[in-house]
Amino acid sequence: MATLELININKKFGDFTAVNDINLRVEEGEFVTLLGPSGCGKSTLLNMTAGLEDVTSGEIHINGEKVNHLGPFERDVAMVFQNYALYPHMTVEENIGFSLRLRKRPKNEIQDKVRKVAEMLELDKFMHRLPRELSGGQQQRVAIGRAVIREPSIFLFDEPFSNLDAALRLKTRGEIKELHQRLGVTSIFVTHDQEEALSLSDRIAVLRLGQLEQFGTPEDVYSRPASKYVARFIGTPQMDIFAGSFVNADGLHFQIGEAGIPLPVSFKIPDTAVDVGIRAEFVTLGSKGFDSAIRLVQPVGPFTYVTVDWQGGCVTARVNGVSHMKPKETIKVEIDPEGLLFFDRITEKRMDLQ
Amino acid sequence: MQTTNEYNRKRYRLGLWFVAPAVFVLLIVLAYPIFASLVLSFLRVRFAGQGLSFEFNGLNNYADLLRKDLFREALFRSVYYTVIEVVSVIVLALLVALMLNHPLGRSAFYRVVLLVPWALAPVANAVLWKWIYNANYGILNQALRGLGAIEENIIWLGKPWLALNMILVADIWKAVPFIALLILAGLQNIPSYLYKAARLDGANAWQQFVHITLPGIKTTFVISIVLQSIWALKVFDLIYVLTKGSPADSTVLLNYLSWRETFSNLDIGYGAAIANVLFALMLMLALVYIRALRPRQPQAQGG
Repeated sequence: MATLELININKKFGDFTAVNDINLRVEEGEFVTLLGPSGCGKSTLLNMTAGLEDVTSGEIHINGEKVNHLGPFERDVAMVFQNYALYPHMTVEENIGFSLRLRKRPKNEIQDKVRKVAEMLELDKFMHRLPRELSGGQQQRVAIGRAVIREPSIFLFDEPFSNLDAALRLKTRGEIKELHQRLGVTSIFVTHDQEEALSLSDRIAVLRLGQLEQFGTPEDVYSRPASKYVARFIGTPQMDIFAGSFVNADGLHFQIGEAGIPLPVSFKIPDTAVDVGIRAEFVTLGSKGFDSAIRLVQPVGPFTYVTVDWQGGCVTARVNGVSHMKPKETIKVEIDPEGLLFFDRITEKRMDLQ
Repeated sequence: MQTTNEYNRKRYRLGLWFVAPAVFVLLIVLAYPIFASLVLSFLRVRFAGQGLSFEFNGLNNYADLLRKDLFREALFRSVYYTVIEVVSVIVLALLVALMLNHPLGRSAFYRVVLLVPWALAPVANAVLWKWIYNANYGILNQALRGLGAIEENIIWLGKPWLALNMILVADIWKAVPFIALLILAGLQNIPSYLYKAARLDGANAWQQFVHITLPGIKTTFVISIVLQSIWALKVFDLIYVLTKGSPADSTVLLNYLSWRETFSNLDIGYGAAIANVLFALMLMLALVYIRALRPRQPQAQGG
């Protein structure tokens, strides 16, 4: 187990800045996800942590010691690659035991350790198969086994689920979380899937264009996003954002088009222009509020997401269970002021006003 | 109503018509000469007043092969030549390919330069080397004397084993580029993430080479060895231009012997028998080649 510290990390490829002055501290045993769309620098950051790529400037510390000059192996990190990167000519047993064989460990020690790891990952029946004779999920587990057997101080995961189908992805997600709970090894996980990040992480680092947008717990990034970008990146369905203004008539309101949402008296009115973000669970469809036309009804099982035309834009509501609403029907929309998130229209940063 | 079976049969018949012209051409230019050469090897062919006379000779031509020292010597030399050539070419080509695969060697310029020997016409190449080896005016002697490595000119093509080895050098020079490019393609097919994984597992540069690079180009190696063996077994132009088999038949290899028996000594049946031995050797190599090229069947299992 180890701490990981990234200090003022920069990475340039020619004129292109892939990673821009990132500072991050990962505590012992923590599971941290680097989250962002492709091109945000998350994989580059992971590769630099692994020692597979050099930093342009900045320092990487593992357990308080600078490791910039160390190779991947000396850093004592293990990595699970997106495409598994299994050695194609080696059997499952040989793949998992490769690092031990390189270190010339005694044969029976290697055998014992490999068997233990294989049993833990339910691979013991496939020991003598080649990677190409395995299914995607099995290959994935071999890749994890190869990392686990090294007993590293940090696990690095580079989008390890992206080649799996949806069902297997969920299963493997649970397995990784269990593995982390069992071994408690500090883990850095790269993904572009916000749901994956929310469900796995102790903390999430949201990246945008090489910069750290927010670093916080899943609850932080979901309920208290640092910016419009984080707010829209995290959460299903995507947060709806409206422009509006404060109106003080008959009590304080936030006015969006013709709809006025009442605000508490304690509310601090800012002196800059403000946009408001609304999550689906704070939108109620029923008998109160403004008449709106239903546009889209998307059942997802426990909920139905109903999108309606509202104040010149669209807003999506989360309705429990399977809804029998139909497109083009009319319904009233009410917004819970508790759930409003306010963003500075210029800087796009969230403002704490309530 | 047309059944699927009927449809498939029609498709199949139509397909036969499409491949027929190609099969026809192959029969004429490949099958016929091979067959004719096989027939010739069982005949005794003589030049009579009115033209050629053919006479069934049984296995006598093949029996001659076993009896004649020159064939045994040529066979031995061909094997020696092939082994040395294959080993040298593969090792040199691997080194060249590794250099070309290095970031410093990636420029297309090197690959173009590399191809020059391979692109030369075989006879032009042979003539070039004949001048290089020329005992009186050749650049090899001049260069070595200039460097002080030798005091007197060496007659490179004048001594039995030396002559054969000098032919080998010329042949290797010409063969390395193609094999190097083959191996380079093999190297570039090895995904870079395997090296990353190996580095994380603690493999140093040599261990990466042994455990990732070599297994990754295994198939390329087999293909290179087979192609190069065939190339070495059929060497003819270099010998024809450089030595014509001299001195004292010490550079007579199988293919050259077959040509000489057929067209110089006019022992056509015997020449054909030698050619057929060569053909059998190459056929075996070709089968290995086809096996190596056969795509592997993935056998993924559920779960």
